[in-house]
Amino acid sequence: MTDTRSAALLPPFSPVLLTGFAMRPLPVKLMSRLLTIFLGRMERLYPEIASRLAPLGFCRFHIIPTDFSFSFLIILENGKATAKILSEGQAVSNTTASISGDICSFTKLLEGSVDGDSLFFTRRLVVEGDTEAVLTLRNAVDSVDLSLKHILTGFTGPLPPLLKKVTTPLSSLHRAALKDFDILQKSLIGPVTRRISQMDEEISRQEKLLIQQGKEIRKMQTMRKHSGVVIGEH
Amino acid sequence: MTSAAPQLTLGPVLYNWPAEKRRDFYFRIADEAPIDVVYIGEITCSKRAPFFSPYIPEVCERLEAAGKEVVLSTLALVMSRRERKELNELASESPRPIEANDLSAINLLRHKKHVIGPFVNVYNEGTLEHFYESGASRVVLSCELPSTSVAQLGKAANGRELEVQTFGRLPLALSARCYHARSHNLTKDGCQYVCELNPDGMDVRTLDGTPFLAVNGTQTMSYTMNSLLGELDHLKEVGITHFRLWPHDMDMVEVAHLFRNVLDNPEDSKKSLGLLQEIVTIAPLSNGFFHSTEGFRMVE
Amino acid sequence: MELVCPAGTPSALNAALKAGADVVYVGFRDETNARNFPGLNFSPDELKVAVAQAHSMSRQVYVAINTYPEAGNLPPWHRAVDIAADIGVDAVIMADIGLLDYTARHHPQLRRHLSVQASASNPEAINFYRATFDIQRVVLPRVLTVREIAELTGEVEVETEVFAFGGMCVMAEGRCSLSSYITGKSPNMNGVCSPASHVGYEQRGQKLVSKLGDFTINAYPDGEAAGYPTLCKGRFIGQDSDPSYLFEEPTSLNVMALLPELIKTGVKALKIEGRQRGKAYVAQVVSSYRRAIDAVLRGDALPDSNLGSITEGARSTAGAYQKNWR
Repeated sequence: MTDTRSAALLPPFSPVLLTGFAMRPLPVKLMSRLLTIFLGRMERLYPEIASRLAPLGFCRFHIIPTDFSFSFLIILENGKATAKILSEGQAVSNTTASISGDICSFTKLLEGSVDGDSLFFTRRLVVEGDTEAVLTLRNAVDSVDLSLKHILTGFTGPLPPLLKKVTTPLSSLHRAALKDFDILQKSLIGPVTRRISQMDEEISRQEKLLIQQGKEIRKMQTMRKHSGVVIGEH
Repeated sequence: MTSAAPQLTLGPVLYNWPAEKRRDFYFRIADEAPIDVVYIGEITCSKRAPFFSPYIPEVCERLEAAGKEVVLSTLALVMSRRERKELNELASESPRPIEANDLSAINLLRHKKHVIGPFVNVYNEGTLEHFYESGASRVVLSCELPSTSVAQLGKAANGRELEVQTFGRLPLALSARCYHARSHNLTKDGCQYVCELNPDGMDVRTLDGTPFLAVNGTQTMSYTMNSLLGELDHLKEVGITHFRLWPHDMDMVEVAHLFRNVLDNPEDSKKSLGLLQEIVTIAPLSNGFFHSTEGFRMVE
Repeated sequence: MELVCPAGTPSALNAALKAGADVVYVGFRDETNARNFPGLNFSPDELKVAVAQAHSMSRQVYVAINTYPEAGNLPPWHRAVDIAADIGVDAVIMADIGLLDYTARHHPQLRRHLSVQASASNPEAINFYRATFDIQRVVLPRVLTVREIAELTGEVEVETEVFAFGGMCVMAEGRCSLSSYITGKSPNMNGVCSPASHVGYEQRGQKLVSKLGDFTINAYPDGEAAGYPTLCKGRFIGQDSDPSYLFEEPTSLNVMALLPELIKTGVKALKIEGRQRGKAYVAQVVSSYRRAIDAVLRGDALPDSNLGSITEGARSTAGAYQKNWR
């Protein structure tokens, strides 16, 4: 397979999104929150996945993108997923299984554009721990036509401001990235890093704003309740 | 439920023993072993059959003269024209009952006394009933059935003859490929009959040296020696009428005596199991399949 | 020539249809089929949607109910047949005589195919199933050579279907208890072979060691393509010999090169194995075979196809289809 072809096969958004995630300046706390939003979206868009994961009960998957400086801990409880970001070298115990590989393999797997067994046979994915749980996870995710684009943008309502702030600037880089991801990654990391730092401040500001708005809404609700009017019903 | 005495049977020799050795083995069985039914025939590899064929009439007569029922067993994996022709001749011309180890023989056996062998899949009462209805006088069960299934099938048999494999390495799988030949860098066609080197099968170990399986030509066997000696009483209770021993290159007359004794005197089972362990030196005993666990395990 | 393709999930079914499958075969999400893997297979509702979708494209759906029902517990298998008949699937693929009998009695109109798990390897056995249960097609065991397939197809009264690509049993299918001997779970009773629940991988120094239960199945030096520890595809030691792939290499069946020859044998359908594989596998294999079959039928040369990366151990073999395999 030639390089151009493999570049063309890259799933939409992922390279740049990943470049974004790979940036150290994104604080772990924020990344965790983004991941939770991501999983929440996934759960809403593809409820079938949860039903296929349910038989696993309680499970902890350690997903280790080898080209990242951090890893993910995905916690499943009866089909419902939550996640944590772990920084490099951070100890993690009681994992059901760990899967390591380059991040492109993971995103392609998510979108089903590559066969998990093939990745494993060719040693691009390394699995340790409960193989059955890993296969269940793979089968469940593979059972829907999952699209990262849908998860990130394609849902009907407005994007939560947090996610929008991250995805919009990154997605604008996407088209260019497809041409030559490797070169682009090198040349873009600098500017993106700076932009992410700015975004970080912006995000903190938005967060404070959200919290404030939330308080106000609750205050209003309480007031209306007392006055006998229920918001949202006509 | 039948009240007839439990019958001890001797399955066909699965391994490639020299013809004279086979003949002498059966002569001794005829003269000394407390066995009721003897199955004879090549079921593993059709290439081996011509060597023993000339001795079969003589052996059958000797066994029958000793009061034993003789059943002729058919090949388990029938593929070539020659194999089909031989099977057809056996099924249509043999004066003796046939054990069918492949469904190809079934049509020919409809109106003839026959046994459904352990290489035909009978896992449930629906299939069991089908075979009895189409004329089988006895059905031999697959080795991997757990006690729950055996009990259900015993109930469904309702007094009709049902046989279980109770001793010897278990025939676990069949193939078109010969692993004995392959392990000697030969092919099946040019095999030089290397399977003759291992009268109880060739041990197969893992990379760590742990015993794993055993190879007998195109057949893959358990490494462990199946023994349901301790379960005979239970088997009788759930309706099993026939108890099979697989021939091995050891004192099979003594093995037969131990099984016969426990069938008649269940209280001797513990002591007899100890004696069996002394006779069986090639591999440990196992009974895992029957106890719904890994087949290689021995459940006390 | 019918191209019969696997789908372990609705999304794989989409992929197969899109890639040009004439038929997609699936199983229910339980022990009634021989790919009873966690997270895999179809609920009755999913099957209903799948059948409607395939029929709207003038394609077909077969349902594999090809394990051996457990003694004293026949209802799950009978129910699976009833549901498949109800939904209007195009055929059921089964191996157990009792279940064939049930289906012939209760759903005589439901087309019956004999599963490879029945291991019917000669005309007499196949004609027995035809005469007794009116089967319309047999899926041939992967133990026959191309010449034997041609002869057999000419001698039987039913259609024949053969495996073209995928994981290959080295043993006669449906007559193998190796998995239950080592793990307690068997293809015939539980619909699994070398189940993932018993699989472990360990990095030992420079080697990746694959285990099944307590048994080491293989060790791969770093850089060598690995395989799933299917117990007949490991490295073992025979008597006094060096470790070798005593039974079979971790390899996949691929008959692509024999396709023109195989089509001439008169077989009705070519089957792709792999309901347990992902939709990417399905898309790639099915489209390659679609192109190849169409080319051969037009009289063109076989198109290039690169299926190397998705085969196990990154290797493939024409297997038993060639006599020297034995």
